[in-house]
Amino acid sequence: MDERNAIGMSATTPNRAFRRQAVAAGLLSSAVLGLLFVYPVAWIVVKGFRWPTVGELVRNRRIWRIIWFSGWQALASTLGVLILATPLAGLLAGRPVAGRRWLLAVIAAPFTLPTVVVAASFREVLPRSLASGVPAIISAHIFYNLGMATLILLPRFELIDQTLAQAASTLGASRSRIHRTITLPLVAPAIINAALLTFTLCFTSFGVVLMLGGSRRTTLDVEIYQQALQRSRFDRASVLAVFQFAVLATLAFLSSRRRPTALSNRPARRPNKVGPGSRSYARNTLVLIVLFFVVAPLTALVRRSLREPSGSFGLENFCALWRITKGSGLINSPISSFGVSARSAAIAGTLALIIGAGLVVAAQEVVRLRSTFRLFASLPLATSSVQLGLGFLLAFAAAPLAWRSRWFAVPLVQAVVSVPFVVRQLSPVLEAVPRGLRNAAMTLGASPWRAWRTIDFRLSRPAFTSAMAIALAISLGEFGAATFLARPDGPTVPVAIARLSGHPGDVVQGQAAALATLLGLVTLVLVIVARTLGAANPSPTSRTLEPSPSPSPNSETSSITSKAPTASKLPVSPSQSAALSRGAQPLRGGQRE
Amino acid sequence: MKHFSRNVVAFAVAAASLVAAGCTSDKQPVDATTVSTPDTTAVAAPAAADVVLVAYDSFALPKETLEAFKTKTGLTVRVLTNGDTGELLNKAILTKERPLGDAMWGVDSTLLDRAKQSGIFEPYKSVNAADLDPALTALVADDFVTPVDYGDVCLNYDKAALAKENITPPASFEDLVKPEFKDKLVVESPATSSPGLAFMLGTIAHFGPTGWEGYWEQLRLNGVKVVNGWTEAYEGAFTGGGKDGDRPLVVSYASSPPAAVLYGPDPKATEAPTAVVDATCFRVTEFAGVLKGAKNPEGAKQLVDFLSDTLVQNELPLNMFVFPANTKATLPKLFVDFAARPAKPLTLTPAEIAKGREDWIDAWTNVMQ
Repeated sequence: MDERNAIGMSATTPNRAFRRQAVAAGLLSSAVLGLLFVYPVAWIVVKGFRWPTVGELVRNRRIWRIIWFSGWQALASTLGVLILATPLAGLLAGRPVAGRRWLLAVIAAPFTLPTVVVAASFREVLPRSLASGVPAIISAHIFYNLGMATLILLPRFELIDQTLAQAASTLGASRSRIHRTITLPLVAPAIINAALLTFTLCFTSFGVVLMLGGSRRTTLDVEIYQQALQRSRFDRASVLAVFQFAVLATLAFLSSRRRPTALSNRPARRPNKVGPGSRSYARNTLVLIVLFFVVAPLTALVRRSLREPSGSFGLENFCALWRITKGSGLINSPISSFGVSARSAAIAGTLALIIGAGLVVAAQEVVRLRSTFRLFASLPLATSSVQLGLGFLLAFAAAPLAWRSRWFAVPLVQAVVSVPFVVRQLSPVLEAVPRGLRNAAMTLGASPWRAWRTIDFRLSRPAFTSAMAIALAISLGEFGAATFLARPDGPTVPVAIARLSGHPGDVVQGQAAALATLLGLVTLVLVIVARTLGAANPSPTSRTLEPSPSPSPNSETSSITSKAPTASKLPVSPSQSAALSRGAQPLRGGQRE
Repeated sequence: MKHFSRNVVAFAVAAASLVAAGCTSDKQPVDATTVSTPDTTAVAAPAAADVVLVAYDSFALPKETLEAFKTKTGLTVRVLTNGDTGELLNKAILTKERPLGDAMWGVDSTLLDRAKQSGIFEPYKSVNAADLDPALTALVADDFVTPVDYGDVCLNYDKAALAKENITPPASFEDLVKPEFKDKLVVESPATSSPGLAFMLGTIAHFGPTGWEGYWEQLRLNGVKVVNGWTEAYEGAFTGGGKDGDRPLVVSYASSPPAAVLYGPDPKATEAPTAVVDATCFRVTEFAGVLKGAKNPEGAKQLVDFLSDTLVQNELPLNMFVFPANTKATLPKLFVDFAARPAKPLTLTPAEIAKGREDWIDAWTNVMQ
């Protein structure tokens, strides 16, 4: 509000006109999200949920086993991630910058891949006896979350004031004592954050468990899917979904209470230069182990995709994607699923961009409603996309909203799933655009829409492109909701991969690997585009993008993929905060002119 | 940086088009199970069709048979296959506001009540109703669907694989819990597969409502492997099906042995490589019907007439390995020679199944998972 006073009376009128339109845009976006997100979720809670079913499920031993398994496999995966990520982040904190960037990029790659691709990779890399069941699930979860956890921990390690350790060492403390009494307590908040995040992602794991769990290993999301789609027990699916809401809400509450505390009031510090010696040996060994762990499954997938049914290597499997194979579970050629996914992603991305921009602009203009709009924008993160798919299936069944069996049901859900990520990309950049320019344009007679389009939009176009790339990546990899809503004559790519993987035969398995490889490549290209554009951004956002785990395009687990990327929960590294203040200052000054 | 990302996109597009270009040359299908599509760029574009038949994955009829329908009625048929029987029915229920097609083939007697309750079918009595086996038409007194075939779900075994280990083939359900069959059997989950459901119903019919759970507990202890569907079981895990199989016992159909001969190394063999345990057979009947909300209801009715006509019914045994429902249909020699025809298959009435199915599946998953 004080900015407005600073702008002066002449700018008040255009500002008010703009604000009115911004509020209209925000309300419209909220209405669309309300219809596409709140309504289906409310349907599950209000109409799907039945108390007698609760009693029935409570008495069902198997449900308890599923909850138990969901919990302990997530706990085991989280422990595995922390055991690898903590020393890795600690050792990387002292690594020279050049190699580090590439290393981080490689480690972060799995987190950006669709879960179906991750599952397909682990089917290939593990020996047959281990390729389905608990070891496969847990190692896939570690593979998937390792980079994300490392990137959360790393900035925290870098914030540790080394003089503390040096002082302790001078006073005669052993290295293990320094770790125990100084390093660990200081990084503990980040460790807990990373742990909560990993736990949530693994708890709601769908694609990985569905493809690697065999018929015995089931998580809540998989059970929701089976009760709904295979047994038409929507009451049970709803009760389980409500239970999962409760768990996710608790986890979200726990992690929101953990604000990173100040570690050091010293100015930003470059990574430590640690001399060679036993530590660098240990570091290199660890880095090699982790690299192998990340690279091996992906290599195995690519290798499988190149191994032809005849046994030799070539592109035959990719060519086979253009053919319909009997007994593959698909009616059309596998490649046609790319057409379905491309159409769906394009619509979802555009819609998410429009909704997201509306929310961001409104939040930025109306201070009083800011937190409301922000909350709205992050709401979809509070569910898994399996739950959303179920909600759509139930809520959009009857006229006039009989949308669930229409082709556009999938893009609508994917748009909802993408909105929080789009908002995260757009919000800092749009907020950094100087308002004076827009006000000037409007004073000169431009309509609010035209002023926004020619000033705000044009200035933040790279952010829009990278937001679009991320929305596309999310939609292309989205599996949970598409499983519920894709029509059998038009499966999306992840659904097609899952179907192919479930059918035996060399030709079909080759097609599955080739399709998964293609999807992985497309996703990586989109993420690279998003990142490089983000980095090229003149705005401060770019900085938060680089080392932060890129938003996971695997949205079925959106629930906290959510929390990972939200800047507030990511400890901001010194270089980031420096960049933030450097970049933001002049712009804010501009607003006052 | 902008250039960098542009280069990445350009590279990706170039690589993709290179692969595409390499593939579009007229390559012949790599094996008999592959058919090439005429239009390589087809993006889920449905071919123009007058009637769409929704069916399970393993639905198959010769091209000429479907063309005969066109000559007879002037209508072209498109077959839209969609998963296993259970999945097919669920998808049909979930898409009933905009049905996937006009008629459906493949609801079976284990799911008849769910099909009826969901109201996805428009009742229609086939013109061939009088020729159909009265035992089968009796299952649907109100003609909301038409019986088209029947078959028995039975335990199958790979003769050679058992002989190699000097194991006498099993003769009953009880045999399967013996130590020599430890880790030898693969079954489909009744929660996700129709033969799996039928086999479970068979154990209930045999052991009675109190004994069957204990039997499955013993099977579990004896290392039974559970998979989600028939293809995974028969072609994936069964030694007599795919080349990667390691289980010589599988839940399949009484008609699987003739299929094993027909698709085996020697289609003229005098002995089938696999055999059926008669005492484990459970009878399943399949139905076809007109879908409510069909775009072409008249065409759908004509199609149901056609599907129950001898023209189609004669083709069923060798294409889908089921017995025709039409009593005037003739059985091929292969079927007469190799298909098991258990004298007294196990059965449960549709009413019994409707009453117990959900609880039984719950109980089964409780024991097995």
